[in-house]
Amino acid sequence: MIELNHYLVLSAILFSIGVIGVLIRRNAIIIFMSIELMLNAINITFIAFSSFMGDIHGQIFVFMVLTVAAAEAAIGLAIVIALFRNKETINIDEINILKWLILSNNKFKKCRISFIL
Amino acid sequence: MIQLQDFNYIIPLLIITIGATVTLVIDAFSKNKNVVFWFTIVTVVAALSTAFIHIDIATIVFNNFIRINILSTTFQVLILTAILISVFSSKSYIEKEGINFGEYYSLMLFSVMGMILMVIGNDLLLVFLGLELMSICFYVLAGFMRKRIKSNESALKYFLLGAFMTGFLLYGIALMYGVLGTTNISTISSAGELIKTPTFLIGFGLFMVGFFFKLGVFPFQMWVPDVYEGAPTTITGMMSTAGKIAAVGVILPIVVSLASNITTFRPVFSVAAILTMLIGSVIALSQSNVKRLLAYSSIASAGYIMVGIASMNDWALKGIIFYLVAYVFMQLGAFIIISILEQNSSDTNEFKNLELNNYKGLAKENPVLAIFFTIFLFSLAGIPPFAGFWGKYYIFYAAIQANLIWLSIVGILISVVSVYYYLKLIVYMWFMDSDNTEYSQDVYRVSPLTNFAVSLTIVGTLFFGLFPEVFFNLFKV
Repeated sequence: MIELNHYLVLSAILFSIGVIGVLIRRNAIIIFMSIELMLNAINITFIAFSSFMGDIHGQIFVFMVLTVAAAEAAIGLAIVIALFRNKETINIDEINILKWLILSNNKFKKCRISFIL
Repeated sequence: MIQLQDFNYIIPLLIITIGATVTLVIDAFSKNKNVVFWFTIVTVVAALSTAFIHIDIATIVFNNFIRINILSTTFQVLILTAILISVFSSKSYIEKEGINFGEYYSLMLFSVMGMILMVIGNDLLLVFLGLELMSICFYVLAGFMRKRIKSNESALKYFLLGAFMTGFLLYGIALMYGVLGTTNISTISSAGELIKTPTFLIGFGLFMVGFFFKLGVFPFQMWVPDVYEGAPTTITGMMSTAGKIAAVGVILPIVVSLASNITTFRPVFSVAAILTMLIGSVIALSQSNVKRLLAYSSIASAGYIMVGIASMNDWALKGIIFYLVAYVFMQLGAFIIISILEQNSSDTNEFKNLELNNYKGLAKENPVLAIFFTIFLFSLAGIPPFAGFWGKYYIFYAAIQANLIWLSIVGILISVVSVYYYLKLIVYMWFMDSDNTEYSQDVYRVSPLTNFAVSLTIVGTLFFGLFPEVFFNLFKV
């Protein structure tokens, strides 16, 4: 018998894989794929809750999430292409004209923290 | 049941929606870009004036999906005012930068549609859709100068991080749905004991994380300076005012209605508030780019808003709303002035005239702009008699009422630190001599529309600074 918890654990695992993918991969498109994985993991949570509570709201939510994910894919790939035309790379380590955290002065450049990207 | 008269309550939203769609069509068939611009202005003005119709009504329509009350009306008016000012200031800027496309206005209107959905939505589904509509438009607008690497880069960073954080927000909504069996905000607010279950608290925390990202609150503030620097300056102004107002408009009613049940979050919010103010104020000290400086100052502003959210009482509601009113005028005004002074360099495709050194001697060359910029900076620093002072005053008063005296003391001390970099900019403008002679007088030729936008912001900053109570007489929050 497959219970609610099985679905929840499965979706939590998939969500974590997505998060880890975003954090460690360096290719913008693969990062984006990991984000899609996170969204689909959430869809499993919604459907599991919806099905076990006998409530239709969760499934409606899933449709909306799918639609939004599709819209985000369209925009995201367009942004990646626009960047590739100017820069000829989608490796996010090389996309570093704007400094993440620290200061505009050169002496602090070395302690630039690349958080997430 | 959805009744036909329900549509009465969402007239501003309908006007914006129709306006955004028609703008796209006009742009496709008309060669004259001015038509698009004026149509946008008419749309926003119409929406703004109809937003006042239901100012005294509190009701829930569309099958519990839309909440109309004084709070949502106030936020709608604030958002539409911010957009109106940004649209007025945009025309000459996008002509100067060579990005005069009709989609610019259409995307702006679609993002407003998302923001209004967020603040009037009474269901997390609607809030989520509104947030995504707003964010997706912002991703495109941030990368609107598609020949410039900086603009591309800011769009990519904003997009990847924004989508990543959307994942957390959605997971939070899913967990809350799992506990309560509903996504309706009114039901969530009155759910009683179920709210104290760990699953709900984790879900609520993740939900807040999604909005803290949009606000730029401490652990999630990394994107703010980069995105604000790379985006077109008028868009930066819009993102930092209207976008933040919409995010606050969602979390504020929820936090205040859940206040007694989620006091566990209060220390977390307080610490986040302090660190946000600290990071915003301290790192801004060493910035040499004016846009980045104001980006850090907007992080500090998010910190003040967080002080209000941590206090979770009715005074905080008033304080935050008044701070946002002041913030619309002063922040937009500062960004409009930066956009006036910014130069287009066709050879390197980079932003020019944005360094602190470029502001040396501005007072001699154009005293009026310097005076206006000084007023906005004083207001941002919280010096009376400008509107920003009352915003900070009400917020810290709320914190004291909520027995968070240590938080207000630390906040006030940090806000003293932040005065330094505002004054530094003022000193550069007034007391130093210009060291470049390459810019002619053309730089300071300001178009009448931009003039009008600056006048609106300066009037707002001064008026609400001198008569803060007028706002609460009009909007009885």
